[in-house]
Amino acid sequence: MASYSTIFTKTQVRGPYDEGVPEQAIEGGRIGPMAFNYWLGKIGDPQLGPTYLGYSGLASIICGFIAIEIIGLNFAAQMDWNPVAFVRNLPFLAIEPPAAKYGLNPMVPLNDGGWWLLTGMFLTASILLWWVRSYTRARALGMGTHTSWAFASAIFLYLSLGFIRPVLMGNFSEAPPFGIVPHLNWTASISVLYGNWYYNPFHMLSIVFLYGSTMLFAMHGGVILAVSKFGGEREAEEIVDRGTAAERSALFWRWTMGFNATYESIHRWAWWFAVLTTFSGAIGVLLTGTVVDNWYLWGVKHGIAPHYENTYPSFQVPADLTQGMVK
Amino acid sequence: MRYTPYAAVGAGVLVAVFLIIAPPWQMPWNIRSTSTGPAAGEMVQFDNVSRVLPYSSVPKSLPAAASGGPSAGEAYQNVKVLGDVSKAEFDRTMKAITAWVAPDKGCNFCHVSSSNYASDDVYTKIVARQMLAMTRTINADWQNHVGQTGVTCYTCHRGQNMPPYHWYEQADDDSTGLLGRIPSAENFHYNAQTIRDFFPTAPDEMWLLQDESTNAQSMTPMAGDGTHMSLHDTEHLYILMMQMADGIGVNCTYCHNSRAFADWSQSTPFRLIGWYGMQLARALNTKFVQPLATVIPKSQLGHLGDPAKIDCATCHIGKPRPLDGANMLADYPALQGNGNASPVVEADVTLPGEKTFKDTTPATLQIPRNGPGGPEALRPSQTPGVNMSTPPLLNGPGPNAGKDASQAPTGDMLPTGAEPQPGILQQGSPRARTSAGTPAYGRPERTQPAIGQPGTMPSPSVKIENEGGYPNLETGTRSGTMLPPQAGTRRIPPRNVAPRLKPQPAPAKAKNAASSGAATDGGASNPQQPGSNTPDGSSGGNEGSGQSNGGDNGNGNAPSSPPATPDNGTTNPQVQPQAQ
Repeated sequence: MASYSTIFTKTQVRGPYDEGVPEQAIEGGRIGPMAFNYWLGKIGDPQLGPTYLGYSGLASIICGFIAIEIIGLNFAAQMDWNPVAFVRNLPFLAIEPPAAKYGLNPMVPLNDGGWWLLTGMFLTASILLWWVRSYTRARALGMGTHTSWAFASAIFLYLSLGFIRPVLMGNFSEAPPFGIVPHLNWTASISVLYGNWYYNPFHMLSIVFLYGSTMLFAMHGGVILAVSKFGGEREAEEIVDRGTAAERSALFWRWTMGFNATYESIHRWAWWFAVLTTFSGAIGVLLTGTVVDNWYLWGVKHGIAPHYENTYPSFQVPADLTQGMVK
Repeated sequence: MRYTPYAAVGAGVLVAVFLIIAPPWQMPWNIRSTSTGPAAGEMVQFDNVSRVLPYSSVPKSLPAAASGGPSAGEAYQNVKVLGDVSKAEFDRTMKAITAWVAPDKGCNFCHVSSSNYASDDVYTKIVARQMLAMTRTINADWQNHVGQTGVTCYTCHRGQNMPPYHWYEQADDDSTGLLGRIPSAENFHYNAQTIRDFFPTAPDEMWLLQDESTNAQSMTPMAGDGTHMSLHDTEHLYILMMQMADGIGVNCTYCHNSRAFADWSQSTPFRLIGWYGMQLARALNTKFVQPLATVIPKSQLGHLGDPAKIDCATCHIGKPRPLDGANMLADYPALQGNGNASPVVEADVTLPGEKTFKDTTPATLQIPRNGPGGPEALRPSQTPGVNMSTPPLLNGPGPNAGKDASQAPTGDMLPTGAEPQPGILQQGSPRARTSAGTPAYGRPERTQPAIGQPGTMPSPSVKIENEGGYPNLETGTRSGTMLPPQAGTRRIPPRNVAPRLKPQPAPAKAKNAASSGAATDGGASNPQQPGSNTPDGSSGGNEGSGQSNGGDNGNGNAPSSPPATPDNGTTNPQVQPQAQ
């Protein structure tokens, strides 16, 4: 049968079960060996395991489970435990943060935002513990901790939205709710409320890095796959016998995409783009409502919101409408 | 395993076929986009030219009644609203109403029997009487929203006993959840059968029944200088706007420039018409609908004992102009009203929404555009000649309101949703030229108005030439029997119209104000002569006159960069506020 290309992994490596490299710090706790799976091999390594469950991983999973349970049980309770209604309305159910009147007081009635605080607490604990895990596991394998710090950038955005900005604002009322459609509505509403976030320069930067990340990802993935026939994707073999994949791909990159990427630099570019996406986003979040109240007017003030000629017939607005909310 | 890829491809094809066939796709070639506003401003409207909305047929008018004869008040007993109408016209109107509202039940929907039509024993007759008074009030006093097209019973009822689109106040969710109920900011109607009924009606209560402020954004760039709405209320306002857009079948950019939703100076005139519509809905709900709670049987009321109420969709039913602007009212003079109609059933308490307009001065914005001295960004237009210490809007600005183009845009200016707008489409196009040969983009010449009149709105006497083939009003071609096009209905002129207006000689003083206003304090330039400023809103002279902030309102860049002022194209000469 002729070879065909699919979106799946083309080759599956099968050999004796591989325990992986030993850890530098003696910690133990690997679970395995386990089995091989053909379908797992379609998207990556067919080998199951070895897995590892340390104290941080275990605690993270427990906290995350509690957070999901609080959300799910509350949603079910809102639907009076009707499973059909629960499924139908799942996208629209929400747990809302406490109202502004409670300030930063954590002792809020459960049905008035207390569940939101509890959920947020357990979810945050889960995320932070997973960060600890990502750091300690990288150290255990003798790696650098780049992944942990990239993850930390995303956590910074998450905490900015749900904790740091609320603390700066003095209450949790403008934090995003838990819920699928409600948090999207929150996104639209808070953008309008603060005068159009598209004029927030840190939002702009975040978008640049986000779209840049996706483009870099596509460029990198495309080039590496394109030289796979020269063994370009097999980094282990490359170390001992490079062949010409790197040279070809570097030349191709130089001719069609970038300037002087190397096998190392492309990963640094991608890492920084990803990190700056969430980091600049977080800065934009923290400035909104604390420093800047209306991003459009801020853009006008600083000359980034161009003025277009009015093309509509003149009409008059009753003065009552023009009052605005000026203190 | 070797057949896996074939199975996968086959399954993918099946899924693709299902996705193509099953959902009610709207073909992209049926979606028409109409752009207004500055070039590349993305002020786009999308509509599907092939879609036929429900309730969109327009019934034929009944043959005209014979003129003369006794009045209905003389001929019949117990006629309270239409007593001054001739008996023949009265009978004809009753027939039409029966066809519009109760085609299945006939006269007995409101009248006890054929022997005693005067009896008030059926509650629907009381309701109908209230609705007649309401219709006549709308047509007489609310032309700033309904224009000359007006409304009839059919505008909302469309052959149904109850208008198909209405809303009730929303009962609080009293279900107890996990250790108590979780209140949701969006109190969706989870039992709704359609997405329309799914949205919470709390926004309707806040703005179409109560009279909450709609000012969401802070008018100052930096925090601490101004205030803004709570996020919670902002979400409600957002939902209200969603319902409004859905009800009239438009995008946000029909009225707003989405880059600055709050800015009146960047909004289309439709926004003001829509705002009048909100005032109209609130006035009708509070004055005419809510009092009926004592009349309507409980089975017809909402959970909270309130009658079905009005929102945008009640009349519009998915169209920018209800029934595509079919002018049914013209054939039914009994519904036209004389401005004296008042509710038959009065409310015994002061209802919310009885809004009185305070005498206000416009917002003072802190930040000039493009640095100090420039024109301000969110400066809205002002109303000349309208005494804002009286409540002209809620109570209706009088029988003549909306007939004078200098007052405000009216519902008549709304385009039909179905007709192309080549005049608007050509805005900014090099082909759109003024009569003087000036390209329509760039800063158009503005005419000098007569004193007291705004400049850029063509008055009815001005003939609007339109080389772009600006279409006449057509009342739609969708289904049902449509009325012939109505001649002479004004609509918003394309941008290249304004420069066509023949400049009128302006008073010398106005020229002085225009030329010197840029360099002088706006407030000092001409506070007592509102009409003498330039119509294109040479910013300082117009906006600043009589305002405390006239000085920083900046005419700063007017002399050096005239193109920077056209945002004041929406600005009109301002009358000194009454309070001063």
